[in-house]
Amino acid sequence: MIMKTIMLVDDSTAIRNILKNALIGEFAVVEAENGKIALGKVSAQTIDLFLFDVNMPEMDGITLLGEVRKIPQYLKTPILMLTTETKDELRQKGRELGASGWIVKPCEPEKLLGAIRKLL
Amino acid sequence: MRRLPAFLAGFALAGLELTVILLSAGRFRNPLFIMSFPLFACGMAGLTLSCRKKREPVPDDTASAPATTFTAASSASFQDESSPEAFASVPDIPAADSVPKNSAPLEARVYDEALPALFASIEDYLNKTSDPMSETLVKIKTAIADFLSGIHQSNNSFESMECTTKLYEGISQLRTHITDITNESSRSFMDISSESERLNVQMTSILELLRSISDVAERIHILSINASIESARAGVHGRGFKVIADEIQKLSRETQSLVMTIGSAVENSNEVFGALRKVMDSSRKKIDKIVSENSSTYGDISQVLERQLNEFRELYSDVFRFIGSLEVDMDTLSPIAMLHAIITQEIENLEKVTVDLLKLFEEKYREPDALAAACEDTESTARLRNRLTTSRELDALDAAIRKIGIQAKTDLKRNNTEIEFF
Repeated sequence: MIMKTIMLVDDSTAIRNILKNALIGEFAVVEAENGKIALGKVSAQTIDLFLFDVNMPEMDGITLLGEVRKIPQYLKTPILMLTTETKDELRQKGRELGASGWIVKPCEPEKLLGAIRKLL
Repeated sequence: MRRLPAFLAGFALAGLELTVILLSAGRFRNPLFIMSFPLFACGMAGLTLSCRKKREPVPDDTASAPATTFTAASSASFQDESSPEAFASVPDIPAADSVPKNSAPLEARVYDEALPALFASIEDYLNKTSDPMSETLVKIKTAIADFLSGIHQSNNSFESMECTTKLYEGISQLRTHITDITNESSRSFMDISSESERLNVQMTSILELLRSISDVAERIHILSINASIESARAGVHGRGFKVIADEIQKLSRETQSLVMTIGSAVENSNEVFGALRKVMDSSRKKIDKIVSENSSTYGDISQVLERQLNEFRELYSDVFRFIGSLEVDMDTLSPIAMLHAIITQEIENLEKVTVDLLKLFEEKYREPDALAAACEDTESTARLRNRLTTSRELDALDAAIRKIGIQAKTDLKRNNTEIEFF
């Protein structure tokens, strides 16, 4: 039974801990504090689903989304944007860049797990 | 305008009290309880000062008292909450009317100084306990998941090899083959034995026949001797007859010799067949014995194998049960680590909200009406909302805003837990 791997990118350690606790056991989790660090890690292993925060230092989630979609290996990999941003234009940009879904924080871990299971 | 510090104190206290209550339930009492006292003292100080402002007129010469003096005095009270006199050293607060319009009220400066430090210390404590716990839980959960994966793999290999079925089939086939071979051998030996018996009878008949031929030859021999005697008596006339008698005598002797040779050969063969029959009987008995003994041996082997395979199955199922119970235990522990993480995040957010509200209070909204207008302002509300992470925070902020009498039209909880798939 090989576990699927999820990359979790958020600058908040607390948020990463909350989500990691919910995901571990069912999924393998790779963490990154921002988009730049995440990009450095994506080529080292196969990721089955991405969870990106939008507002992050160094490289924000929307830029990261665009960069990941340029990698042929991840053209069709599900990417969920997990953010407090509710602006329609940002949401639209996420959709155009190839995000699979937009989850507005606060989001209960169980609902997030449901969304992930639906995509995997 | 005076309601805002009270709101801030209430909001901060509510958050901290929530933390204390939750962590007390998680048996992390002492450090946090101690840390909650300064905040409580700070909140009380704010409320006391607010009350004083109402009751007592304040001399003008204290209007410019430095905030640091107050902070130091407050710090003294943090260390000993049983000394409310510590507040006696706090300089008197200037009357609201005498506060310059462009300087923040003393309460605001107090909170501005004290709250971030308190939040930081609480965050630091929570991070120190939350992160190692969370990491340990993650490690344990990962180890369990890896172990379970290994066991599943091993079980799958065990099942896919079809050990049980193949072993049973193999033993059964081997048993059948050996039984068939031994039965066939036994049957063959019996057939040969019976054939040899029949041959023996035939040999005996041949020997009887040979004895009859030998008797006939003997009688011919005697007859030929008599014929020779009679031919001698006949003299010259009997010479021709003597030649015939001699030939007959010679023929009878040769016949007797041949009969003896054949008889000897037949008797030898008979002895050989007899010995062979004994060997075959003995072999057949041995085979019968082996068949009956092996039958029980193979049965024993099958039973041992079946027992071992069942033990393997039980072992796997015990391991699965054990892992299952561990996972349940982990699930019961997870909320504790999760709680730490959430509280840390909530306190971090509360700190940001406090700073935002202080800024609003100091720079823009000096009147309740203006604050109400701010809450109706979509941009401001969105900024407040974006500071928050959990439903509890949203509820607390929403309740607090309504409690102080501001009828905000904007629903802070809008789009809560919204998930949209593209």
